[in-house]
Formats: sequence, C-alpha cells, structure tokens
Amino acid sequence: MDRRRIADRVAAQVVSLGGIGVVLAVFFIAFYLIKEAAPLAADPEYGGDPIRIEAPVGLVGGAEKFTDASWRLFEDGRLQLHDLRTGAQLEELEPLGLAEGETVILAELSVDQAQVRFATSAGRIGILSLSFVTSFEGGVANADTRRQAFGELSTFWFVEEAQEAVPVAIDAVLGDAEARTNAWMVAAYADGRVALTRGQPRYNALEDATTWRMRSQEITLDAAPACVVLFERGRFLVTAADQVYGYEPADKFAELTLLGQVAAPGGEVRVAHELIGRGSAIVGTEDGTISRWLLQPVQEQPIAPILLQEYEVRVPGVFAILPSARERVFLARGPEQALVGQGTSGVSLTTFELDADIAWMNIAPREDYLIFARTGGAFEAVPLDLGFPEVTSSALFSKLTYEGLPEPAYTWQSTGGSDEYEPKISLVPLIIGTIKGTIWALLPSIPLAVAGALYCARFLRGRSRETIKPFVELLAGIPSVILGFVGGLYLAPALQDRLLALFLLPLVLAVATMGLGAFWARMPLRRRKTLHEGTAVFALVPLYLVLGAIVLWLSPSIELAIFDASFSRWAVAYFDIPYEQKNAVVVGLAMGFAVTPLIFTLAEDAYRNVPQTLADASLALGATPWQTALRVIEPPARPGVIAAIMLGLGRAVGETMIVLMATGGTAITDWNPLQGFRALSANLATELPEAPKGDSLYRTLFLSSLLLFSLTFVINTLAEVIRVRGRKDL
Amino acid sequence: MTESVVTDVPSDTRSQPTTELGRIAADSASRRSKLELSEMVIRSEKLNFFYDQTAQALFEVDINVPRGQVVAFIGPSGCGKSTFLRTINRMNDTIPGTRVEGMVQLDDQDIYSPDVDVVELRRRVGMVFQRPNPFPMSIYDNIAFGPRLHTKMTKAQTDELVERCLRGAALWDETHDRLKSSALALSGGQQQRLCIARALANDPEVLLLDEPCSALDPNSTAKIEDLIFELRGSYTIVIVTHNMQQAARVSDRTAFFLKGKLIEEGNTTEIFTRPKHKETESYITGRFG
Ligand SMILES: Nc1ncnc2c1ncn2[C@@H]1O[C@H](COP(=O)(O)OP(=O)(O)O)[C@@H](O)[C@H]1O
Ligand SMILES: [Mg+2]
Repeated sequence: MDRRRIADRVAAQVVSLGGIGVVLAVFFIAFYLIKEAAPLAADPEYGGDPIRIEAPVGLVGGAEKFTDASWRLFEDGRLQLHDLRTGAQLEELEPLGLAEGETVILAELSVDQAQVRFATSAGRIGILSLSFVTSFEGGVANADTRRQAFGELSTFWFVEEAQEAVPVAIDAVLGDAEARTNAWMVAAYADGRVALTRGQPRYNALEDATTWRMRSQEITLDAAPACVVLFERGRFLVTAADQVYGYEPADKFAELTLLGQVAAPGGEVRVAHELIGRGSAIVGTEDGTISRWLLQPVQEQPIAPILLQEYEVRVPGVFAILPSARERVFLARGPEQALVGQGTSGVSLTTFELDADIAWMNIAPREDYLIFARTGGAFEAVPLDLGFPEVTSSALFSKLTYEGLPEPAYTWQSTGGSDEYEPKISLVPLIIGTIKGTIWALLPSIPLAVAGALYCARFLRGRSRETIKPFVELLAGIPSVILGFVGGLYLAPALQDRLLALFLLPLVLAVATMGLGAFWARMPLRRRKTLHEGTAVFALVPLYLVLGAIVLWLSPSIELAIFDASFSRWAVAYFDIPYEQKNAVVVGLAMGFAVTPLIFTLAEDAYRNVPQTLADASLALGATPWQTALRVIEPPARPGVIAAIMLGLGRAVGETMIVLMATGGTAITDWNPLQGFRALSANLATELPEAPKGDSLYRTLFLSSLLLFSLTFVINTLAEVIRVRGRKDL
Repeated sequence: MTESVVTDVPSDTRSQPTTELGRIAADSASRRSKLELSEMVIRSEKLNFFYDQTAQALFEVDINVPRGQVVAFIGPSGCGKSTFLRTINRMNDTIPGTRVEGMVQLDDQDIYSPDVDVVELRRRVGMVFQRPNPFPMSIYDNIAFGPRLHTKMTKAQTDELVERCLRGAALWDETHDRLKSSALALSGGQQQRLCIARALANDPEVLLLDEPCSALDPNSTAKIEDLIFELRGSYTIVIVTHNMQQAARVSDRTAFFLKGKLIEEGNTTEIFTRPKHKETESYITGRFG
C-alpha cells in the first residue's frame, strides 16, 4: 500500500516535472530567438571615449579599417599618416607628383575609402588609390602590436595634361584591366560644360602592360552645373540649379544622350554623392531636403533619373554626403547637425548635433567610428554603433524599389555576388510562400482527410475500419525528406509530363463515384444487401485503379492530339502563366502525404468519440446514416476536427524538408500554383548555415524564425484550446 | 395518478411476491380504462435472431401486441428482451453481421420485407433507450429533430409541435421558459422524458421503451410511469423492465422471456397472480434473475 503510494507520488512528480520541462523548453526557445533577433530593433548609438590626436587637418582624410592610423591629403599633394595611439607621424609622402605651384583644389573620398578622386589647379584630374600594410611588432599579433603603414599608392590620371579650365565637380571610377571594364570620369565646369571621359584598357602582351585609351564627350548645360554622380557604364547624373539631368554615352561613345531631366525637391542642388555600388545617389538641396535617386528603367519606362524617396528629416544647409563603406547608409552633413539615413528603405535613422569647428568628417570604413577633423588641428574617432540599419520594418514588409530592379517589389534576395550588393530582405515573399505551400497542401488534404475520417469512424464496419487507421497512421510516419525528394525528383517531372491527368483525375473519379452511387441507389434492395452498408465503398477501389490507369495512359495521347504535345506548355502559352517544374502543386501533393494522415487520425478520433447512443437516438428517430452523420455526429465532433485541421495547418506551416526539396525555392509573391515558392522554413534551412553569425542577415533570419515559431505556436495552442473547449461541451 | 410508493421489492416481501404483485397489478388495472382487444399492431411469428452465425439470441418467438396497450417484457438479463425490442424498429440492422428469420409485422406489414422503408418504419416506431440520450442541442432542437428529418416546417408549426410534445411528455411546465437552453442541463429524469417527447414528435404508433427508468431515481421513475399511464391508449407501448412492481403497475400485458425464448405472455394481473409456467413463477418470486 505504502509502496504504491510512493510510486504514485514519484510518477506524478516525474510527469509534472516533464510537463514543466516542456514549457521551459518552449520558453527557452522563444527567449533564444528573441535574444538573437532583438538587436535589430536597437537604436543607433553614438558617443563614448573618443580617440584623439593632434595633427594637421588637410583637405580630405580618414582612418584605415582598424582605426589604428589616420591619413590626410593636403592641398599641396602631401599625404600624411599618423598613429592614432601615440599621435606620432608615421609617414609623409607626395604620391601625386604635382608640378611646381600646382595645388589640389577638389578632393573627394570614394565610398570604399580606398581612393581619392581629385582635381588640381592645373585642371588635371585623377584618382589616387590608397592602401595600407598591417604589420605586428615583436611577432605577437594583437591590437597593441599592430602597426599600419602606407602600402602601394598609385595615381590614375584621366586628365594628365594641364588644362585651361578647372572643374567645379568631378566623379570618377577606376577600370579593371583584367576584367576589361572601363574607367569613367565625369567633370563639370563653371561654363556649363560637362565632360565624360572613358578609359578603355588595352593590354599589350609583348610588354605585359596595360595602356588606357582615353576618349571624351561633352555637352553644355544652360545653367552652371553643381554636382555629378557616375552610375554604371558611364551613365551619370549632373545637377544645375534645381534640375537633375541624366545622361548616357550612346552610339559607341559617339555622343551623350539626355535620358531625362527632373526637378529636385527643395530648390537648388547643393550636394550629390553615390552610395555603395553606384546604383543610387543621395542628393541634398537648398532647403535641406535629402533625397535618393536612381538612374535606371522603372516600370517599363526607359532609363531616366528617378526621384525615389525623400527623407523625413531635413538637414538645413546640407553641404556633404558621406556614405558608409559597408552598406547603403550615409551621413548628410549640415553646419550644425548630421542625419544618418538608410538607402534601401529610405528611413531617417538618427540625427546628431555637430560642433562648429569640424573641417571634414566621415564614417570609418567598418562603421565603428565617426571620424572628425577639427579646424584647430585635431583628429578624432568617436565610437559609433549604427546597429542594423538595413533591417527596417519597411525593408521587411514593404514594397521597395531596389537598385537595378525594374519595379517596386517584395523581394527576398539576401546575398549577391559582391560586397556592394544591395540586400533585399522582404519577408513578404517568404510569408506568402509559407501560406501558399500551406494552402496547396491543405486544399486537397482537408476534404480528403475529414471526409475519410467521418467515413471510417461512422460508416465503415468491423475489421476494415480497424485496419485502415493504422495504415494511414503508417503514412504519417514517412520521413519528410523522403516525401521531399520523391516530390522533387519523381513527382515534379512526372507531373509536368502529365499535367492534364492531374486536372482530369479528380474530375473523372468524382463523376465515376457519383455514377456508381446513383447506380447503387437504383439497385434493388435485395441486391444491395449482399454488401453491408459501408462496405460498398470498397467496390470503388478497383474502379479508381482502373480509371486512374486509363486516365494516365490516355492523357499523353490527348495532350498530343489537342494540346500540341504538352499540356503544360500549351497552358503556359494559352493562359500566359509561367510554369515551374517544382511548383506548389507538387509540394501540395507531397505535403498531402504528411498532412492528410495527421488530420485523418485526429479527426477520426473526434468522430469516433461521439457516443454511439447519440447515433442510435438519431437512427431510431428515422434519420438516415447520412443525416445522422451530418446532424448528430458532426456538430459535437467539430471542435476536435477543427483542432485536427489546425494541427495539420501547424505541420504544413512548419514543414521544411518537403518545401525545400520539392520547390524551386525562388522567393516570389505569385499565387500561381504552377510556380514554386520559398517558405520561411525552407529559407531558414538554406540560409541560416551560411549567414555570418551576428550580422544583419543572421538576425533577420532569426526574426523570420521567431515569426514562424509564433505562427506555429499560436496555431497549435489554438488547436488545443478548441479541442479542450469542445470536449467540455460533450 | 398512482399513489403507490415506488421502491425496490423489499426482501421480506419476497416470500409472497405473487400475491403482492398480483394485488398491485389488479389495483392498477382497475384504474385503467378498458381497451378493446381489437387488433394486433405488432405480430411476430417464429422469429429467430442471430448476432452472427453461431450466436442466436431469439428462438422462435411468437407474440402479439394489441393496439393501444402497454406490454411489459420481463426476464433475466441477457434473455433477449432488448434484442426483440430492436427487431421491431430494425435497430438491429445497424449491427453488422446480424440475421433475422421468421416474421415481424407492423399493422399486417412484414417489416423485414425488402421494400420496407426503414426510415418510415422508425418514424412510426419510436424508441427510448435505457440511458437518457438527448442530443447536445437545445431542448427545442431535440424535439424538432425527428420531424425536421422528414418534413419542412414553418417556425410556427415547429413551435406548436414542440409545445404539444413537451406537454405530452409532462415536461412543458418545467422547460417552457428555457427551450433554447441545452438539453444536457436537464436532470436525468427530465432528460428521459425529453427523449420520450422527442419520440412523440414523430407521431409514432408504437413506443419502445428499453428499461427507461433503470438509470433514474424513484421520483423520476414515478413521473415516467405516470407518463406511460397518460400515453396508454394513444400509443402502443412496449416496455422492457427489470422492476416487477413497475411491470405490474404500468402494463396491461406482460411477456416473460428466458434464454431467448418467450416463455409466457398474457394479462398482467394473471401473470402475476397465476403464472402458468414454473420458470415464470420462480422469476417473479425472485428466485432467479
Ligand atoms: N451487439 C451484440 N452482439 C452480439 N451479441 C449480442 C449483442 N447484443 C446482445 N447480444 C447478446 O444477445 C443476448 C440477448 O441480449 P439482450 O437482448 O441485450 O438481453 P436483455 O436486453 O434481455 O438483457 C445476450 O446473450 C447478449 O450477450
Ligand atoms: Mg436489455
């Protein structure tokens, strides 16, 4: 007796401990997901102990990527490097080789902060490429022993000969001899001239050297140009007064064609600068309006300058745009304050006040400092943490116009070929993919599973009923990887060949079923008695098999005869819908094997749990078995059946392997069932292992997993609530 | 209204139950109006019933049930009372593998003939089960369930019918103010009367009651018995009961089953005072059962 009590106690403890454990595990998972995703919401932080040294200011300058040393370029062409820890000058060079009396009058840092494009008082224009060599003192590699020095410095001249005129604005980009890409430079002059120079690489194999063939084209604007920004392939924006013009070199560089002319918001353009990748430009105007521009075809319009968005926050007196070297983030600088803006989603991230004595400033290459040069001769690096500026709610959930894409879209394409790639992190196509996969999995499954469950629980008799259920449950145990690859490798091509059969089969089988039913009803009662009520359905099995075989066998001939050999190709042409081999229908069919048995067994339990006494009462009142099923069995079983469907839904939403293997995985927002999709779950499976820990993609993926987790959690909880509620009513 | 106290047979009266039960039977018979023993509503001939090939539950049962009377089936558990009852509305059809031989007639029509509409048969033969089994719906919908299966009715017609049936089952006074609330909220006795009302809604000729009071308390049992008394004449009632006193109180005729056979059938007062068969006597005197 005592022993049993102890055993009971222990068992109860173990069970409740297990329950608590499960709850804790769920909480832990949720906590972990939130913890990893939460930094996305953090505000930018700025401030803290600055690194500060005394050093001459120069025209332009910055820090190398470790922020160990600071460099500056002076008017007279000198380039200095100072150690940021000791303040000592490390090097001083004269890389430009300017003539006597020639000075640098224009100098602008490239986005990656590895180049300075400059113009001299002699009208010469070039690009100075910087590089740094890192070494470690004493053979120990750590931050304290790290030393920086200039590496190879080279100057690429677009205009090497002295000129009459001196440009007011330039933009230039280096070419790549190996990749055979051209160098481009655009210069604007006070007299209205705008000149585009192209440098074409010519490799001389004998001398193993590259020469650059320079050609120029010019146009003259009515007003004095102010700013220029180069885009791809020599296209450029030039501004004059409040107008923004777009040009492109045409006819094999025979002329410059005007692509379009658009008025900038907020008056005269004061400043314009490209963002990383040269796919878009930030423009600041007279009244402080900051706007983002593209030079690309949008919505079937020809290439033209496009005012994409204006930033909410204005920067009065804006006179410099300082882009980040890492992502589409920039600093718009006015005399008193600066705005940090995000490119892709057009969000004003933060603003901060600036001291009056700042000569120049920029964002450090790693975005970890703001770098200031003070007119008094000081250099400062103030710690900066922008957080994850690319991950904004509009980037996640809104339709955006991306660089190089023809129209605004919800796009998920998190990584591209280069570091300059604009990440597209809209979760919308993934959510749509998940919903689409779920719908196409549940659409055939729900009626099949629920009707089958009702039939099995309430119409089938004796042994057949006891055998069917375990068999269906066996189906539920098939690993989803297997369903996935059978779907992807077998079903997808098979379906493409026999798409017509997919449309015909349900039709033919439905007609056959109803036909047989009608025939059965007409049969004399005596005949019908030979088969027990509920067993007649097995007569359908051979019929289905035979009809199925006939349809599958005939459909290629029909396709050949009517649909030009291939129904799928015909349908694509006729309805003008794209067809993808691994499409949502394939997923629906494959996932059906996972979801249908789940819904079936649970729904069957629900139907079977309705007491037989109720069915007896109904039958005794003269109800037919069908009336009994629909009016007496179904209502009390409904909560259980809904719960079963919800659990099936939860399974379909979270299902990963099948959607991963049986779809093409393209993140589209199209509901067309003959195209694939990318679901949240499959996206996590493909991208999370590749995502660098802690970066914005990694955290965005965690955010999407949190979404998926809450979705399935809510669905499953709801299912359980419905089921428990329903049980109370019975 | 009967005044009899409804209790189980006290053990000390077991020595002379025949006379006691006979007295009750005669007493209740005297209160009932005389009914013509005119026509037979239910008639079975050589009825054999099999649950499967080997398990025969009824053997050669011949019985006649006269219209408007109350017939009580008594006999020990497992003797086939329910089985026989369920052959009358073909509820046994719902059990797979069963087989019927012989004949059961309802109003001179063989109910097992192939062209009988089972739905219509069950409308004409209402049944109330041992455990109250109202549907998990409102009281109103429970009553309207049967008629709605067979005909389209207007709201007014349904309202009228529900009231009539509830009054018929002596449940109106207790439920008229909560017709739309769940039938499951009623007490066991009320639920069973609701089941009777539900059966009445189909306007049946025959009511089959399979131990309708075995799950009820004495008070509720008394109410059901009163109800049977009221319904007598309008409906032919077949009631299975284990309670001898109940059989004696409510029935005009009594049939005694044993091991699937009908041993004896006749006027209730006579069965309880002068049973012809030894088995009957031993059963009603409580020697076995
Ligand atoms: N569904 C069934 N399947 C097989 N045998 C049954 C079934 N129902 C009852 N029986 C058997 O038939 C016999 C008569 O049962 P039943 O009519 O319920 O007895 P009673 O109602 O008189 O107590 C019993 O032996 C019982 O075991
Ligand atoms: Mg019984």
